[in-house]
Amino acid sequence: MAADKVSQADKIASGLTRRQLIEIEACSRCGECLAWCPVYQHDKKEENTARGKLGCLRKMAAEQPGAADQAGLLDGLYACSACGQCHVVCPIRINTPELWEQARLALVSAGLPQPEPQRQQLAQIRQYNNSYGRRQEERGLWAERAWQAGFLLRPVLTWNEQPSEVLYFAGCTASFDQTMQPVAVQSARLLQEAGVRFSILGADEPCCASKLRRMGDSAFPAEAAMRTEMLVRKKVRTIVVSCAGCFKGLHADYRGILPGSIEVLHLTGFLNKLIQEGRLKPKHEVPLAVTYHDPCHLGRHSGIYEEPRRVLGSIPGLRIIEMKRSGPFSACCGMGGGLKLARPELQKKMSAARIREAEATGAEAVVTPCQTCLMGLAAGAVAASSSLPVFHLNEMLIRSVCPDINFDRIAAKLKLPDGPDGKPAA
Amino acid sequence: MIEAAYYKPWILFWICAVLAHGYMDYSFWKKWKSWKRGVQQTSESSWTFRTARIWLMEVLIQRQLLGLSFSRWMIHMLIFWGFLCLAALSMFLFILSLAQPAGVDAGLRDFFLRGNGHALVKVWGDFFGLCLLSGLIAACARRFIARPHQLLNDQGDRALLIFLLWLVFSGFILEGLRLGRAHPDIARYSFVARFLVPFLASGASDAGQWLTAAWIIHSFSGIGLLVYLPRSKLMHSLLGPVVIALNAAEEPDRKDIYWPRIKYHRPTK
Ligand code: HEM
Ligand code: SF4
Ligand code: SF4
Repeated sequence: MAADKVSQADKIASGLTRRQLIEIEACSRCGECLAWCPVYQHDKKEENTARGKLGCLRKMAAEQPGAADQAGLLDGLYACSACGQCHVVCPIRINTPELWEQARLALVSAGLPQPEPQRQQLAQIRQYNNSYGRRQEERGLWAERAWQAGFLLRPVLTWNEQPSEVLYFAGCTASFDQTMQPVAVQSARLLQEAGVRFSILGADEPCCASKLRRMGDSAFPAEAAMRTEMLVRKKVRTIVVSCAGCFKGLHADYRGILPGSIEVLHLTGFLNKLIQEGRLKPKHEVPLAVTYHDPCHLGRHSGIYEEPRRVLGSIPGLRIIEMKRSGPFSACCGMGGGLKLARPELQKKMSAARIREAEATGAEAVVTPCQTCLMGLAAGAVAASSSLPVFHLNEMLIRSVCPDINFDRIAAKLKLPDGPDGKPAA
Repeated sequence: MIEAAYYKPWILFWICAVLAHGYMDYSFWKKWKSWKRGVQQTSESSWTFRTARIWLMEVLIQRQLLGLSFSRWMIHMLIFWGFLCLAALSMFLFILSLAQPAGVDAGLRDFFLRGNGHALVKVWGDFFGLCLLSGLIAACARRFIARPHQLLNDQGDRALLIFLLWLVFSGFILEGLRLGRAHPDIARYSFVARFLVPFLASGASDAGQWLTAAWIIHSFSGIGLLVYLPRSKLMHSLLGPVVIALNAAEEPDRKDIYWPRIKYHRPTK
């Protein structure tokens, strides 16, 4: 069949998997997804629910849809953080987050529009190999500057200088975003405190490219293969990742691409192991009652709920109070799946709602092990006019292991003045 | 003793049944072809005892619904088991009706329709008919009176419930009319339909015609279900088990998905 004769329905259907085409017809219309969807909570439109999206997608893949179906699907699909809550609660077990990501790819491939900020972000990642549009040479500077400022026990070497048993993968946010660089610095310091021999890739550290997958960019498989080839060439065996998004990317999206000989661990799991082995010793009291926010990419998407709680539980004096929506039912802060780019106002409402839920527990702070959630929740606290502090999990551990390098001190010290382009001068 | 015979337009029935079945098969074939447009998935699945256990719990016992709400679970269990067991009975009797003329039914047809097994058929039919009926009435009450926010009352949602109610009502009416002509020893086993007998018998000068009419309505509605099924949300009853199986094979060890305290965490009760 000539390419121009292929109908839009066929184009969309051929962009989905066979299983997904079955899934879109299997919905029982029970509406359970509606009751839990953190987006629907703030924007009560049927197409924001899994049921609504499935209904539109069913029509789009089966026949020439009405204008309302197309508009509804585009609206609903991009007003979704792919948080996976609907998958966990669906009695039919429709694998929704996978479906949403694949559907975005299918729609873009079928020539349907994508929100401009998402398109720009994807282009930036492809062009600069990072989501901040910065020169890659700046990527590893956090490590050099942290060593110079006295936050580290030893200089952090790059893989080219010295390959190690562990590769620490900081990710774009902790590498480039000045407010989040303390996450990378504290991660490195904790690994050093435990005597772990690790290196970073420095300027060679790529963007994990998982955002390409999240937002439906067809370049993802090729980009992932390229990165894998580099990791294999460098003989990397164990990657420790401190970002929940990069972790899901390397751990799940690279499945079938990354060889099984390369182990991908999230920092919290690794820290928990070090604590259990007695290599890392939380010793100072941290007298704080905190509530723990499960990042979607770490919890629901990767099944990691216990390790971060064990790390927190090992800190003397620290007490965890759970939110009603915790573990597999943790409400998304809205930072994932490109939602923040497509619908920033919605993301803010979601973070603010999560902060209010955290406040309701009576906890003195909310803790999360993901720098992206940390950013979202911190903005949510402002939006909710809340004084509840939001901490990265590293900060809690640092206060117990080496309290001299707290988050704010690092942030203040590493802050660079803005350059003429409005970006921090390198 | 079996009820006295009445006229059934078998030829018309068979023509319609074959056409309806053909249409249903064609619809499924079209669906199958449309699914084949998708890319073949390569994912890690493990088909183990654990997968089978999850499937049984999720499909036959519908544990997720039970975790969410006892009343919703009960409603669906009544509909699900009521429907399946009635469908199984119809299928069983149909197979026997084909097997008898071929001489391979080992006397089972006579046993179930004329002999001691008839009581079991009556009790089975009435019991599961009652389950289905009460489940459907409760589902209607939930959908049309309680109206929980999460339910969307689309035409398709309403049509399915009303269609199933029609099917089960017409079945009971047919059974009630039949009992009017049956021996009381047998009639008493139809412990639901026998209460309808006094209403249905009064004023009916020729029960035979009524029986024929009721039979046509019920059996042709059953045929209608074949046509309606591929276009209705009842597709979930066929595809739900497939999707549940695929997911169970992919994520069999995920306790967070399969055995959580879901009700406790639910944002709205
Ligand atoms: C095979 C496995 C099946 C699964 C996993 C399943 C699952 C579900 C679920 C989760 C709901 C929503 C219930 C609620 O929200 O409370 C539902 C609704 C429904 N199911 Fe099933 N179902 C199955 C089979 C069947 C069968 C065989 C029938 C036969 C008639 C059926 C008839 C219905 C009806 C009529 C509704 C709508 C109820 C309403 O309108 O409120 N289901 N199903
Ligand atoms: S929870 Fe699942 S089955 Fe129920 S309406 Fe949502 S997608 Fe459909
Ligand atoms: S993935 Fe999350 S945000 Fe998207 S529809 Fe499901 S519950 Fe809503």
